[in-house]
Amino acid sequence: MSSEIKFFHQNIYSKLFGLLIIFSWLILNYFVLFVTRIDPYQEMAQKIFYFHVPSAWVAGIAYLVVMISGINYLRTKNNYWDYVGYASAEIGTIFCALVLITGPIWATPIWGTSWSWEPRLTTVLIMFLIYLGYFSVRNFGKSLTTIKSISATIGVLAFLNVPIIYFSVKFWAEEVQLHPQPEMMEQPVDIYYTFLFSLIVFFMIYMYLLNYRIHILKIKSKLENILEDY
Amino acid sequence: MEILQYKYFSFFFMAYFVVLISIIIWFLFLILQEKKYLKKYNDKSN
Repeated sequence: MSSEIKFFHQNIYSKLFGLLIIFSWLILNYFVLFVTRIDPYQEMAQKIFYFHVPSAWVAGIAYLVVMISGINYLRTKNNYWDYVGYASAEIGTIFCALVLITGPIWATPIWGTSWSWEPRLTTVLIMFLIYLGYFSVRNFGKSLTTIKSISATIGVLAFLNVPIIYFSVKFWAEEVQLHPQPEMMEQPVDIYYTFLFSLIVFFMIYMYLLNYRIHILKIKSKLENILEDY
Repeated sequence: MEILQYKYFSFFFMAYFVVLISIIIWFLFLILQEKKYLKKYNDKSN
């Protein structure tokens, strides 16, 4: 007889972490709306930056975790790394989608167009499409171990695009660049610290969703093992 | 509210809610998934 598994939120630390995130999110809203200065040209559109950029950072971190777990899975064949990689790829893709949605919302009033095929935007879109391919592979075929190995390999290779996204503003000629390139260290204190705080809050959301998803994938795997024994 | 008077508030509002609602929807999806698998698991293992 197997032992009973508890709900994720029955763990006091998960509950406290969730409450901490809600509290931090409310503080972040206060800082974004009432503490940071209003840009004289972009006005409220500039404040999208506090949600757009952290989403991009979290997507990058999530894909880094996919790569590390992919390498560890290929090395050890331990299912734990497969859960971490899969869960992180899902969250990374959600945040990548948020980048691709909030970016055009900002660009519509500022650029006068919602999309431009400039390097940063195009490389982020490519990243998003690569990970849609990753999920197609995971839902394809019968041999589970092979699928896990193939998706781990894709996760490792796909990460090569992340530095390209980051350095895309330097790789390509200035004439084709449209994406803003603010130097965060040179920003006023209110903008700089609110931005740092938004990075921390988004990272906490990522950690929380990652742990929750890993917990579910473990239950799913144990359930599949039980069903196989029947 | 002073912030409502600034230009492009609707764009900020839209972007903010896209982020917030997406995270909430994903969270609700996880709750439902957990409930589904845990119920099945506890039924089968007992």
